[in-house]
Amino acid sequence: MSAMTDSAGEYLAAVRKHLADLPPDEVADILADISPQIQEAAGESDVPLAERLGPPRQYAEELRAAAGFPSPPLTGAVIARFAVYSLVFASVVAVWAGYLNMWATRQDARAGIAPAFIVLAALLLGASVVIASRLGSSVSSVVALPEVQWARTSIARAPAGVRAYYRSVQPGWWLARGLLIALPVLTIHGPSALWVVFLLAQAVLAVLVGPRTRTDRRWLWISVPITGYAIGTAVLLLAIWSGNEVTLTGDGISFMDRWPM
Amino acid sequence: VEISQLLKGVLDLAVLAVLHEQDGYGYDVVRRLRAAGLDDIGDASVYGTLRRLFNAGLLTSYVVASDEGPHRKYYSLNDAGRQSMTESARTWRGFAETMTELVEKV
Repeated sequence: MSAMTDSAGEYLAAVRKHLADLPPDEVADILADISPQIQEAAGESDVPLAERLGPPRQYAEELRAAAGFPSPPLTGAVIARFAVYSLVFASVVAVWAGYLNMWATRQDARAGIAPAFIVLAALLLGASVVIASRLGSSVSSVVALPEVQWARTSIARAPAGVRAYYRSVQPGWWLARGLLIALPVLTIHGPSALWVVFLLAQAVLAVLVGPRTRTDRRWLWISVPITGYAIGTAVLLLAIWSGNEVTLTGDGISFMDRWPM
Repeated sequence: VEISQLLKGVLDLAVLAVLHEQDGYGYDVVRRLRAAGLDDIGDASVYGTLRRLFNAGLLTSYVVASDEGPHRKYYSLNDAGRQSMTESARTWRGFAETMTELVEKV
């Protein structure tokens, strides 16, 4: 008899595992509902439960579908790694793209191989956004990666005051990065309409997405590359400022005639 | 047409109707649906439907102590559930009448 009870316990534990992303109260309610039948079924026959009720995963999926819960989040280190490394790569390339800003959009020869990298980064980012959207709002499989754990403990070693300060200025940064991204629109002569739309859309996104990253970590896949782009823009503007004489002419502010190399 | 396909849209109503008759715990609802002749419903679909109706505020639940085995969680219709059931039942009857008339000539 105890072996049969064990098999009910195993089956229930396996179902629970496939519901693990749901709120704990909901999972407890579901298990309370399904336990009587599964325990009875385990006592009735020696045929494994998975053969009579279907594999636990399928049972959990059928229940989720009928209950209207979202599909289970993706798990697994390989997928989590792809998502996080694509994010890092895309964010680094975004700094570059922000720095090149007008060059790339003007198809200037000086942009070199940058467009190829930017397209690759955009594709990887697109794929990782799709994946991240299925990781669950706390992206637990990413957090579980050893390298992410290591990064988190490193950050946790910073003095509490510093971390609290960073957190308090973060909303200011979300606004500032939006302005920073939009700034080139105001400072270049005759920007293309497409480029203006791209920058302004990104600026609005920069401001809107920031607060969401605190409650839903998946937004980081949008927010971090935007921060990269804003940093690149800041470097570009600084380079222009230091390398050019800023003059105020009748046409407006003019300092875009010589490009930093 | 597979009966399971037809059932998808009306499982809510079936569960509400069973609970309207009498409060019940999950397994109870499964058994009463089967006894009524709905053999093709997956168990997990019934449990999932119960949770969805509960989370939508159509059901309330209460726990009843049991002498043998663990406590049982009973579901019962609340006012919103009864109202939803009445509306769905009206829709269903109209639909069933239409379909019956249509297939009569087959």
